[in-house]
Amino acid sequence: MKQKKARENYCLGIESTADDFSVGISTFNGEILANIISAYMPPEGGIHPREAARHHAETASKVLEEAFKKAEIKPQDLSIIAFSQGPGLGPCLRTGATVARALASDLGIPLVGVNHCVAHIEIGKLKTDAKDPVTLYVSGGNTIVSAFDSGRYRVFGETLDIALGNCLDVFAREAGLYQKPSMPFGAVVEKLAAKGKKLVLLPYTVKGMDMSFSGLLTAATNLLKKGEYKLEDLCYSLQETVFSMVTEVTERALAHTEKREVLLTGGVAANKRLQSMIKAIAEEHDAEFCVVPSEFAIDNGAMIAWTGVLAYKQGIATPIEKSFVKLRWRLEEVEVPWVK
Amino acid sequence: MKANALVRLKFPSEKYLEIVFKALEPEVRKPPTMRSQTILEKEGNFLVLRIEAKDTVALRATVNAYLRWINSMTKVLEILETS
Repeated sequence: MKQKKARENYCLGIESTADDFSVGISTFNGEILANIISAYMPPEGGIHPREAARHHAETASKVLEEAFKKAEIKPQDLSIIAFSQGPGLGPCLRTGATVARALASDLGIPLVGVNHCVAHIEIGKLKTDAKDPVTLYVSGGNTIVSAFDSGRYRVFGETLDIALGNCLDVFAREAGLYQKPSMPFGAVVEKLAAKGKKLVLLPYTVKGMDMSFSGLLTAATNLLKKGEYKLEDLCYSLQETVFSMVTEVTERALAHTEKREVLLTGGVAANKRLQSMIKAIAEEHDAEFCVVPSEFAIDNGAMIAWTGVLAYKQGIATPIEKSFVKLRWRLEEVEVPWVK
Repeated sequence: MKANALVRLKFPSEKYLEIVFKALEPEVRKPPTMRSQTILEKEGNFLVLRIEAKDTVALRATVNAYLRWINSMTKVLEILETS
């Protein structure tokens, strides 16, 4: 075991909002000691909440054990337990919550419920040293453009229907593509898009500061079924269209807030084309472009642990008897007193 | 209510039982669906689940969910015990 530093405090974070079950361990100073992720990969189709929850329940103890091993600490060294309280899929959230409650109760330490969206922003800030960015958070479940103002992360723009990552995933499944742990659907589409040359016109739907992806997904899928265009060209066109939409909204938020940083976070942040587009608008507005490292871009326990630390330092804790999961917990509902 | 189930689970100690009971309480108080209701009780070293559901499909889903949670918590507590 690693020699425990004097007065070192650790937080264990459990992430279980969707298809990933993850345990992260962070020090109170933001050093990430472990970030173990177990992904549920359905043999076909999208995420079935009950099956994902079954995966989480079956792998929880194994992931937890690995995290302690990686961090080289004992459970008794922990000071707090944090868990993703929402938003997310009910059965998955409940599995993580029951494990977190049992851990906190057995160890006799405080429990901290964390908002998943806030955690994506906070891990991005921690890993990139961004202080007060406009954030584009894009994943399979969320598409949000936000920035801090008056005690909370305010939503400046968001999807009106499905998330950008979901749009890419569904298209990939419709095209008969396969994903694997090392290459999720987003990466598969990105690889094909790099070979595309012809830009096919697809619906571009930005309404005010909000976006809609479902109509464009239907249009792309219909074109795919007609077989008139090469798959590479459709992947290229789909990427260019959806990324242009989020880039436009992010740029407008940047111009409005006059912030000096743009942070790209969430699973889709790993996409190089999206990174180049967001980087371009950041440079035009003299803002610094920040992108979260891939390991912390996808859903992970480390982001929950670190956000738990930030909240706990402000005296925020969640009594076990009140630690209900919140399936539709919006980003702007959360007060973030640690941000000044 | 049309379908009922009674599940009695013996725990190795009152401490374990108390931890699992406490962790499940929020789920009992705010159930995910109105199709079933669960009453949680302690009887010595036994955890008792009384589940009432509108149909057998809802009953099976609820029983499975509770057993899955209890199983994962038990495995996690075993890790703490041996660490």
